[in-house]
Amino acid sequence: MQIPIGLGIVVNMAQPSEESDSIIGDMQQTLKKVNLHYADGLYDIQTDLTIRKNKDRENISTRSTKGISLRGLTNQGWAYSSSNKTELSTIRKLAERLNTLPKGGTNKLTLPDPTRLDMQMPVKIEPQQVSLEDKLQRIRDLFNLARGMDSRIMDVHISYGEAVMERALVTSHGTQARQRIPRTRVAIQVIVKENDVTEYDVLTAGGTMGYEVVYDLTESAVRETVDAAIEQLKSVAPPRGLQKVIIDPGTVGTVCHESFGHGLEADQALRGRSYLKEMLGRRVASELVTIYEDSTFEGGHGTYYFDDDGAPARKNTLVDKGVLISFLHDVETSAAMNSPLTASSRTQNASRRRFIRMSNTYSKPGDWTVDEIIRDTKSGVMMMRWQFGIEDPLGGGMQVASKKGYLIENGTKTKPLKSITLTGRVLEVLGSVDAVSKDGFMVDAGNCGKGKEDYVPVGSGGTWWRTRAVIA
Amino acid sequence: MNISAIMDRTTRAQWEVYTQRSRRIDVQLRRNEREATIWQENTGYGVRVIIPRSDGAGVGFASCNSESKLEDTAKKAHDIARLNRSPFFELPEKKRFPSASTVDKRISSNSERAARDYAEAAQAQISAEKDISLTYGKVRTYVVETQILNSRDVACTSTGTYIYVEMTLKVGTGSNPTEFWPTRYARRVGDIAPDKLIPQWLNIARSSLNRRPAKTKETTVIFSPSLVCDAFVPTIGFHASADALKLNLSQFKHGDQIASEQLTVLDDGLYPYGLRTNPFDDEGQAQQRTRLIEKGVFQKHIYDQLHAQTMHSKPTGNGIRTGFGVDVDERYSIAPANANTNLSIRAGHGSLEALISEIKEGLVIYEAAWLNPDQITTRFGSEIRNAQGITNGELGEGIVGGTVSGSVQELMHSISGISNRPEVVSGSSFGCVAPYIRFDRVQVSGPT
Repeated sequence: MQIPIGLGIVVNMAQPSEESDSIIGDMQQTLKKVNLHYADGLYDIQTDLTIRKNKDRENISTRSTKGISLRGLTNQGWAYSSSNKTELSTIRKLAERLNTLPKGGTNKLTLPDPTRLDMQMPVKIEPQQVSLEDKLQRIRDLFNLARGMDSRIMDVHISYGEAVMERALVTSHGTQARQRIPRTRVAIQVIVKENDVTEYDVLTAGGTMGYEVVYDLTESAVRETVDAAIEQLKSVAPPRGLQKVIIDPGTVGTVCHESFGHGLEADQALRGRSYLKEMLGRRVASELVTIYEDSTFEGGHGTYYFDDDGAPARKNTLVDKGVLISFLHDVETSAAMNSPLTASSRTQNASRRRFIRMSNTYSKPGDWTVDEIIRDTKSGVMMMRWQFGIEDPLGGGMQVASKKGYLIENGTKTKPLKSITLTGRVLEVLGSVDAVSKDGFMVDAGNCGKGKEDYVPVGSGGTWWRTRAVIA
Repeated sequence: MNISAIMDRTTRAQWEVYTQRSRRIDVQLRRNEREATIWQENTGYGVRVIIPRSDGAGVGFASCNSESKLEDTAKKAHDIARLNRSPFFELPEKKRFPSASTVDKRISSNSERAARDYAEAAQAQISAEKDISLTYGKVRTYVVETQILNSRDVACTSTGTYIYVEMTLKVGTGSNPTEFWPTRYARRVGDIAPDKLIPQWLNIARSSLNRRPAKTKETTVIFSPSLVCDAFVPTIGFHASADALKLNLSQFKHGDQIASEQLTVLDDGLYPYGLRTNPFDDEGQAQQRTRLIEKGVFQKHIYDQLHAQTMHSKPTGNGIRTGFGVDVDERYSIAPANANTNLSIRAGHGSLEALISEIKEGLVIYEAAWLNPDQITTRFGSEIRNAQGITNGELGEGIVGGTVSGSVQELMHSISGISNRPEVVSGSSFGCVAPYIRFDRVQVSGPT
């Protein structure tokens, strides 16, 4: 499941923690006393600042959450023992719980080479270097700019969030790694009203970036959002049923994410919950489709240095020219399926379990221009501004919803359309891709749930696609 | 720790500290084995400070989950309140609260055993099935103690228990299997006891054995209680809020016929063992029952402190801490906002079977991928994951695939029947007591 960053979504974030050195040392010492074949400790501190403004009020909040989690492999699967308290006595108690569990976890693990890392992701402008007063004033300026652009604007909702995650991993096999990942995002929702019709459009930006995200917002981008919201006042419902669909890059990213992202999470394969398990090496999509899963993608919302099993970040090819190349793995599934680690083990925070997750998922550009794709389409719909999507790991379906679109008639964009939902069988939808653009490449920021829980920041994108799918 | 003393030395302004102490155990299943067990303990603090100003107020909110950081957190909230602009309002004063049923002793006395027993019973029941298998499951129990202290002498505490169950039931053993993937929160194990819930889920899963995708047409559709929850909570909850009214976004006006005469909806903060039931709301105001819609006519918006005081109304106990992805034991990290407690939909007269028997052609949808209607426009479109066709009053083949779409505002007018047994349910949304509801003229789309 994926949703965009934006209004109503709180992004976790954090300050660099001076106490983490001693906690890492305490975890190392304590893990030596854990009597399991494999055990690790994860320390996590996340702090965030959120500023929201509308015509009625300004809401500002900060959050700081920390936690520690010891994990071990027992003969009853993985055991996690976690607490918000991080002093040595608590860490020992967490370890004692692991030691009371039945030993002898027989599952083989592919453990990454032991490593020592201490990484901090650089950004152009550290948000902490900008005062809260300046940030609030900038939000007010953006609000006034957008609000003044048209008399039909009834409100503008602005949401700014900065987050820092500091996470350390210590394993019984010698890894000691720490990373500090900043993420910043901004969303501007322009709400317009005319003759009792209320509509809106949203401008979002964000990723593993700093305060430059806000400085990079241009007046013309705000103007485009205002114009798009006003255009929505005249929008009509999309045609229903099987249609040719031209999908914008953000929505393509969500299609990739829900189809061959979630569909390739190998934990689902071990559960007998993946329709793709027997399809490695086989054609699963049009030969125009190549999809990457890339935790090293610069600026991507899902970028990191190492995953929560300690595997170094990497770029994985999931689908190459329509052929299924790789599942996504953690230490357990990598061993079970005899495949390399893909650095895909992630957790929302120390109170949650680690699962196989995506980072940044995007498609490779093709040979068309988007204008050529439109001109080449006699009738269909254009689907834009993705809102959310959800996977169907076993059934092989998917759902992707977008805020708006256009009707395509005789090779021309005509009427603006209201929200559009694309559904269908993944193999059919991606097998029907018959045009991929070379222009418009972008990777959008979002948050991804494993089902409807356990959210982690991700990126998704690509370029324009044309396919056939059921539209409503 | 003396929270009042810390706050009094940090700020002279009005303050509030919302504390949650929680323990959670999560048992996760892979087929007939246990895949993972997660024990978690946490204590979190949410601090709000209100500083009056000539043009309104500044309101600061900060949270942490470290006792030693509470004073720093209070200072942050104070510093924020010196900067931002909000309408002025005051925190609730001390008062008596109604009683509310929120605790299952089976969970509060031994939450770990409650989760394990449930998981083992569910595994045993499902493993007895030949055509359905459990591929993955979660059973999670929570015990959450909540305390609100404020500078106006509110000092209230409550305890709540929860159980969350998620199962993925694989249907069919051939090359083209499908699954039923339900989730459910409850306050009490007994409300969703394995011997009650699992057979219902198995029946729904089994209905997908023979299936086809939906066909494109307008037709009569029955929504399951959890789908009603997903349709109504984000939309009725939002448009009934004083916040939406103040922002001129509410589509509901007092006295307007906004739905079929069959629809009566309460915001019921005291519904026994409702998921958002509590004696007091998340800012220390008494929860209550508020009639929102009576026979299709809109009655009243719901108010938190801010909106009650700035819109010259009375608070209705609707200052609620809720946010996307925020679990029941993480509410301390969210500032209160104006939201519904339990949307309670009044029961109709017939059984589900009676609703079905009156349909010439249509379908009953048990589960959609993710309805997630747009809060402002109320539009939605969602893949049909588990449904059954209805022909001449009889349930028929399974429907998997295709889309149900429309707007909740239109759905509310097209209600043609409500079943007689509302349930405390959850779906992607939280806080609803819903029956099955039948809607006429709903758009369904498929490949043909």
